[in-house]
Amino acid sequence: MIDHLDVMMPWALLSGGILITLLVSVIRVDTKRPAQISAVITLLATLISCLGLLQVPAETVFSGIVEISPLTHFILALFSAIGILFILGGDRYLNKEGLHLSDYYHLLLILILGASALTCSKDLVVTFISLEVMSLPAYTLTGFRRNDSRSNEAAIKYYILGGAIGAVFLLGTSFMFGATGSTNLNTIFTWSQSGHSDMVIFGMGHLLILIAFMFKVAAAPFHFWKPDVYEGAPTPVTGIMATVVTTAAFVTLVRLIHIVDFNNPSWATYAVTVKHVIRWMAALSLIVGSAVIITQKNLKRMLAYSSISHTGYLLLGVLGSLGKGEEIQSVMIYLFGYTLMTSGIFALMSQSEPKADTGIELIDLTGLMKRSPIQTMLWSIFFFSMAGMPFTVGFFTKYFVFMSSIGSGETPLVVLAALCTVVSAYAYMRPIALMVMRDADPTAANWNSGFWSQIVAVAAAAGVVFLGVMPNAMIQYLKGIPLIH
Amino acid sequence: MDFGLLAFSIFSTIAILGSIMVILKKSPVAAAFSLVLVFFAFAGLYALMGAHLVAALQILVYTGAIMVLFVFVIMLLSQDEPVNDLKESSGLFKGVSVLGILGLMGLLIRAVLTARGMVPTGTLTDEKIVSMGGNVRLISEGIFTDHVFHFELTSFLLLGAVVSTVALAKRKAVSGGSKA
Repeated sequence: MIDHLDVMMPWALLSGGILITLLVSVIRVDTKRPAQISAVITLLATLISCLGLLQVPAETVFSGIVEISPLTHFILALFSAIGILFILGGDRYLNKEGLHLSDYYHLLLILILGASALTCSKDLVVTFISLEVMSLPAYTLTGFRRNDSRSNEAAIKYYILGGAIGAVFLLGTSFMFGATGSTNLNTIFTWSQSGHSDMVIFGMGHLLILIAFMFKVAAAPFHFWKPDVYEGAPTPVTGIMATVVTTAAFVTLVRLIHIVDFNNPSWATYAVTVKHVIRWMAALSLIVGSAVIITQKNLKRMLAYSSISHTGYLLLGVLGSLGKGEEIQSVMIYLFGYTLMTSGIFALMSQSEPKADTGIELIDLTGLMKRSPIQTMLWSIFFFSMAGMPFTVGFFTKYFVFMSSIGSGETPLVVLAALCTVVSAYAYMRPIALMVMRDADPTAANWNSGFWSQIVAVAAAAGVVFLGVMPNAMIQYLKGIPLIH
Repeated sequence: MDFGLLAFSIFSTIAILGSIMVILKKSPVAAAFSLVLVFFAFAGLYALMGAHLVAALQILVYTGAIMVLFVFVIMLLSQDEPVNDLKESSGLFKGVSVLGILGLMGLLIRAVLTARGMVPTGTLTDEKIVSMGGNVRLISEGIFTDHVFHFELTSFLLLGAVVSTVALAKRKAVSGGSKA
């Protein structure tokens, strides 16, 4: 155990940091600064130690239940960076809403710990525990605005549905354990390399755990919770859910899909079934996401439907990767680009005053060009990227996903996805038109750029444009990372 | 009659009567304490099967921790008048419930009948467990070597639950929040 301490360093720092943050927050009860500073230092230390370990080859630790690889280090580094960005960018928002409590930082750190444990888990039991470690703080943070009924409603909804889906996951796990006699993903993969009589039981279990994760990433028809949760949760929390939780759930989904050896002829029938399930879910997510987003007036609900359609594109990439593990990079590239633009959008969103939260409507953006040209430019960059315009990261991420799934014969679905891109482009262009072409509505909110949130937004926008013009830097790096073995 | 059969009859009678009382008692506290009786009887049954550690854990965890939790919740809710909504529920609901229970019972009986005469498979036989130092030793070694990651992760889950509870329960701490 001790000989793995070097590769486990980021995890040790993060979990130690959580305990220290808990301790320092009782030193002075009147101010929340100690917890905030301690949380930022913890995440910074985790980030630095992850970056130092990026070249260390993959290895399994803790008797094969956890796999540490450059990918998991990269993801933990990404999560730490997102955590720091949202702590700094959300500072003003939390003060404004009276939510500045030490508990916020504890829960945030525990969420990041759970999400990163999820991405490196090689065992179904560990997957379940880390899923809960990630979800529990997410439920609480959703209901953090305790005086707001919408926030409470969203938290209860999320909690009950999340609990039910946890039970679905466990049911699937027990089926798979019954068929294979193991919960270890590597053992299950070895088991699947030959034909068995328990394949139906196994397939049922496998589909159940896939559905559990489809719920977590909000693929249609399991998407109903997302708009309410996005709207009810405090803005920085929505941002963290859109980035950290989605990324962790997607990486795990991809890993769990590939625990079956689809190249084995005895799984051919099952591979067709899985492909059908993913194909229909991708198509439904795309259609629901891009059709409903046009009708939305509330900015956060709009982003929720946007994320549902992005789930559809990501499933397209998953479909392209089925049976050939090396193609998974298109999903990683998409997730990275999506994280970048979402961080930026949510940093911008926490700048509105005075109705910072549920109430941000599209009408609040009217006439922003005259009031603040810089913010208009930042908003436009992110909306262009969401729509997939060239010279933004959103174009290339979509391009790779499309190429990957055309490569595996999913042309009709790609045509549908391209149509949906065109339809949803209208939804993303409309706010830009409101900002530039309309005069400010008398009821429109004020937008005051805070120092940190502006820095976060500018940095994200620079990343979006840089990777949009020169995507090779990101692609070369991500292509070198082995996700599946 | 040998001792084992006698003890089994006593414990299972207590368990069955206790479970019936859990449903029939109108006061929630009385129902909760009937449940304690059931848990004790279960612990006795486990001990009879030679699973002494499970018996001890049953008393520690269920009778000790979980029942205290039950009683606390009942006290917090302080429901004075007993609710008896079964009388008001529709005939369809009752029928479906009875069918469900009968189905579950049939399934259990079938499982017991199928399993008759089967012996547990696996590497750990009774003799091997004894030679390796007993259940307690094996389980503690398992927790702190092979499953230490599960163990630590679970402690963070509980930590998150505690912080969540505190964060959501201390309502008064919010000042100047958004008005719903």
